[in-house]
Parts: sequence; C-alpha cells; structure tokens
Amino acid sequence: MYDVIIVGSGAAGGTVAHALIPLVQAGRRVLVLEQGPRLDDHEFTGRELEMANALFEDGGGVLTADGAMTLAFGRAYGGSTVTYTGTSLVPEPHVFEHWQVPGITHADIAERAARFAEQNGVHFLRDDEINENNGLFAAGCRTMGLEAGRFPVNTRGCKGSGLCNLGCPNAAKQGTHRVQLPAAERAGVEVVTRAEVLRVGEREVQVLVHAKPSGAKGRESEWAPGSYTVRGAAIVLCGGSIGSTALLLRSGFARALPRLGERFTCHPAHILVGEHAQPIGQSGFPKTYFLDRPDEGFILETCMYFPFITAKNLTGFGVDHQRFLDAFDRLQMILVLAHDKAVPGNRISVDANGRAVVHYTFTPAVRKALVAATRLSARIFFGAGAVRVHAPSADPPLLTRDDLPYLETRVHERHFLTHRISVSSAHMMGGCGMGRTAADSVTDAWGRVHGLPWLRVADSALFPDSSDVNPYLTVMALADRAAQALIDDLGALRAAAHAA
Amino acid sequence: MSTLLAPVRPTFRALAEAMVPATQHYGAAEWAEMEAMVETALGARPRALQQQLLTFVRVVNLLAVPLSGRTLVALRAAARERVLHRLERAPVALLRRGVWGVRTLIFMGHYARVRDGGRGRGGGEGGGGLPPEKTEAGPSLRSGRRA
Repeated sequence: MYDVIIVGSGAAGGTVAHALIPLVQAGRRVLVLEQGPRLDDHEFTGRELEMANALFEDGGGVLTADGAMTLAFGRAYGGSTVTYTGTSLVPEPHVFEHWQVPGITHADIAERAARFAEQNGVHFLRDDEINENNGLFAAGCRTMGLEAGRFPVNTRGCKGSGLCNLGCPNAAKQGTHRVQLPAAERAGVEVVTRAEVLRVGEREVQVLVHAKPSGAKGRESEWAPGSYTVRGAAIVLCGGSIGSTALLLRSGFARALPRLGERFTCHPAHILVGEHAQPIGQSGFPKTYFLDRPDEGFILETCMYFPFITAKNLTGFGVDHQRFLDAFDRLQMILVLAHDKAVPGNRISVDANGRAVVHYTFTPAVRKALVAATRLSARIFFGAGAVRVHAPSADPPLLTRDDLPYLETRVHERHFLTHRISVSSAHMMGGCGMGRTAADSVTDAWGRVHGLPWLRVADSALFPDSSDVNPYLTVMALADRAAQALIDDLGALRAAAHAA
Repeated sequence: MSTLLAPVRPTFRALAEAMVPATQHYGAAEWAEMEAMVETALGARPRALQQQLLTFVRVVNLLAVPLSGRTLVALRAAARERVLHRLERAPVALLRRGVWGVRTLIFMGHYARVRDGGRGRGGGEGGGGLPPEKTEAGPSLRSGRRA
C-alpha cells in the first residue's frame, strides 16, 4: 500500500514526485510508474531512428484517427522532457483569462513557473551561442520591421549538439530526468520503469511490467516483469494529455465524467525550410527565437530537425523534394504552430482494445493560421537571403523570389489538402480539463477529479484550452498546484483508504 | 532478404525510385538494408495496418494503368512520379493517405539510413554531417531580447 501513486514521470510526474519529497522524508511511500525505459547517458547517441524508437511512443509516429496529423510524445524516464527542446515560456495573461478556471491566474502560474525556471537552470543564450540558422531568422524578421523574441532555455553545459529532440547526448538539458526525478529518488521516492498502467480502479492501479526487449535501449525494469495490482491512498495521473485521458476512459470513468476526452488541442505545426546559396551554420542550440502573432493565431519558432523528420514534413516527393534534402547543409528552418482552440469534436477516445484514438479536424481558423504563418515565414526566409522556400500549402510547394509578389495566391488555403501536406504536433493538451463541476470539466482547479477525491490529474490533460506557447513550464506549474492540494488532502485520503 | 515486402517488392522499389530518385542507384545491399528497416517499422504496427499498406502498394501499381496506360512498375521513373503526384492530390482521402503512408516508410528507409550512423543530422551524402558530440556553435548574429 502506497500513500501516493504517480502515473508518468514527465514534466508533471517529475514535478509531483519532487514536491512530495517532504512527505517521503516524513515516512510516506510514493511510487512513480513510468511506461518507458530508463536510459543511461551513453545510450543517447543522437541517431535519428534509433533514438526516436527508444524515446517516443510508436517512434514518434502516432497518427490521429483520420491519419492527417502525426503526434509525437515521449515515453521514457522523464517523459517528453527528455525529447523537447527545453524552451521555457509562460503564457500571456489572456490565455488564463480565456481558460476561465476559478483560481487559475497568470500571477499564480508565473510565480510557480519562475521557481521551476530557477530549478532547471533556465536562461537566455549568450549572443555567441546563437547559430546562423537562428540568426538568419532574427535578421529576416528585421527586414520586415519585426523583432523576434528570444527563448529562455533550460540547459546547463550545453555543447550545441543540436540533438535536443533525440535526447541530449551531453546531459545538458534539464528535464525531469536530470533534475526532479533523481532528487526524488535520492529522497526515497520509488520509480519503476517499463511499467504500463492498464487500468485505474478505486485506490488501485493494474500494472503490467514489461521485460526489456532484446536489443532495446535502457535498463531492465526495477520490478520483475509481470502483472501487479498496486494500491494507493491517492493516485495522480501524469501520463500526458493522451495517456491520462485514455487511461481514465478505458477504466470506465466516462459515465461519471461526461467531459472526459473533450477540449483537446495540440498546436498543429508545419516544418518549413528555406534554401540558401551557401552552407549555413546549423550546429548549436536549435531553437533560440520566436515570433508570436496571437492576433493571427500562430507562433513561429526557429528549429533544426533531422533528415528523416524533415523529409517527412515537406510536402511531396520526387526530384524537387530530394533537391531540398540534398541541400540539407544550406537549409534554414522555421517551425510554425497554430494557436488552435478547443472545439467540439476534437477529442480523445479509446478503441475496443483501450488504445487512445485522437479525433482532430483542422478548423478553418487553424488552416487560415497555418497558411498565414507560411506566407510570413516565406517572407522571413527570403528576407534572410534564401533562394528557394518550401511551402506546404502551395502547389507546387516550391517558391522562388519571383513568387514574392504573388504569395497571397501561391500560398493558399485551397492547397491545404489533408494527407498531402504534413502536419505534426508535439504539444498535446486537454482531455481532462479543469473547471467548476463535472458538467463542464473533469477536475477542479487543483487537479482533483470531480467526485473522486483519491484521484488526481496533474498534467497537460488539465488544460481547458490551448496554452498558445510551449506548454512545459505551465505543466510544471499546474503539477505543483496539484501536489500542493494533495499534500493538504493526504491525511484525509489516507484515513479514507484505511477505512475502506 | 526481406519477407514482408516480398510479394510487392517490384512495386515497392518502383515507388521508392519515384519518391527518392537517389534509390535508382541502389545496389542489392542498399536495397536489403533499406527494406529491412521498412519491414522492422511495418512489423511494429498492427497487422491490419500492415495489410492496408501492402494492399495499397498493389493497388497503386494497377491504378497507374487508367492514368498512364501501364502499370507503375512498367513506367519510367519520371512517369511514375507524375502518376503518384496525381494520386497525392486525389479527391479520395484514402488514396492520399496511402501515398503519404508509403512515402513516410520510404523516406525513413532512405534518409534515416544514409544520414545515420552516428552523424545525427547533416549535409549531403558525401559528408558535412554533424557528429553527436560537436561542441562549437555557429557564427553569431545579434538580435534583440524580448520575453
């Protein structure tokens, strides 16, 4: 019997585990169950397919129900904090005003986020650490009279491998696998990897611990392979938007929680490339600048991805497509993300086998935003000196400077043809949204599931709508709130568990 | 030699040669390596999905007939590419989805293989790759800080 069982070890699970250290030091038992493996430092090789298969669910190739969008999320000790870029933003106040969750304010989230920013070494890169790919973005913005913002990032001792999204090979990125989880384990929190939680029941979880597959990365699980039923006075779900929501759905909570699965958003994204006449500096930290355009519904971010993921995200194939990939060392890259909003129909469900199914339709607003973002990116690329630009929502998708006067017609929503253009997401949010009652939400503002005091949600599933910016610091702040409430409630929860 | 792709190998290679022209220069060893990667990826997917993709490969070969007068395998590379570009714009989403799925596997088999091997990401196949343990940042360009 544990006092607290935490399902998942990413931004939320790591935060909750760390916040519960005082409880463990006071004799309470806290368990973290992580579905993915625990990798040793030497296993972060930076090899694209090898690391994607080791660190991402389905190798990063999870598809929405209609196959029109790829969803990438981590599945490892540290969750997606192992594979994100480490950019650390707090949403603007209007985001929380739009959420309309009593008690959730920008001031509260910002105060908590600041604590985690300090804990994780968040800082701005020095000018001499900013590579040419990033510098070209800022220069391109300036040609249009725009000023790019600079990302705070959570690295310590970054050696500029540029491999953040494949897991930092230099142990520089300060995800929960580097900061919160090791500290929690040193204090006595128990972490079990390769532990898949199949079901949640009344103060218990059913767990299947997997053996390490032959040839796979990572250590063996801390527990012997097999099935377990583990009891806890409180259960905190931190498996991410899709993981936590699907777990509740397949555990039969849909009737008690009619809003379960709703309000899913994900910042649908394109990877855009501009080709320069000469090689550009791509080495170094990949994501330094952003340009937020809330009124137009999108944000642009610098990025530098890997050959396969780049090839996959460009529209088309054949001779023209290969020419871009052959020019890889001359490519500048921009990631465009739409500020999608929660709408009916975009939701998470489960199939007959209990596997998550994500239903997502690109709304007219999202299509418009991605197309507008592509046009602006093309201008930035050309402003920075690019000679050719790949634009997914153009047909053909190749733009030259001669197309500049005609961008409004060349890049157009009529070319946004699903299953032809590639759209991906790494910011899954919602499914267990916060609110007032079970009629409008799944939890309260502290992650307490309505009507089930022993059950908590602490991750990005809580978002009642998009965060508009990279969500990781917001996840940590919400997880911190959930942990605070849990500490306050644990005495009563333990008494109830013992009485049961 | 791969087995999952065996029943559709000629069409699969025709698709690959149209989608990534560099594969037209593959030797037997490169094909074997590439197809093994694709099979491994396919093998990790549900059986129904495997069958859908293999069925799609067969269908594409025949769909080329009404579009160009010959099966896909019988066409030259440029003509294959034209047929496939028509299919990727097809009004039927299932056809577009099939093309997208096949191209993803082919891109994986080519780009994740020839650019891999410890180089992480990098330039053309002749070199310019970036090793994982690189330490030097590129040239800096100043920009204003906001945030």
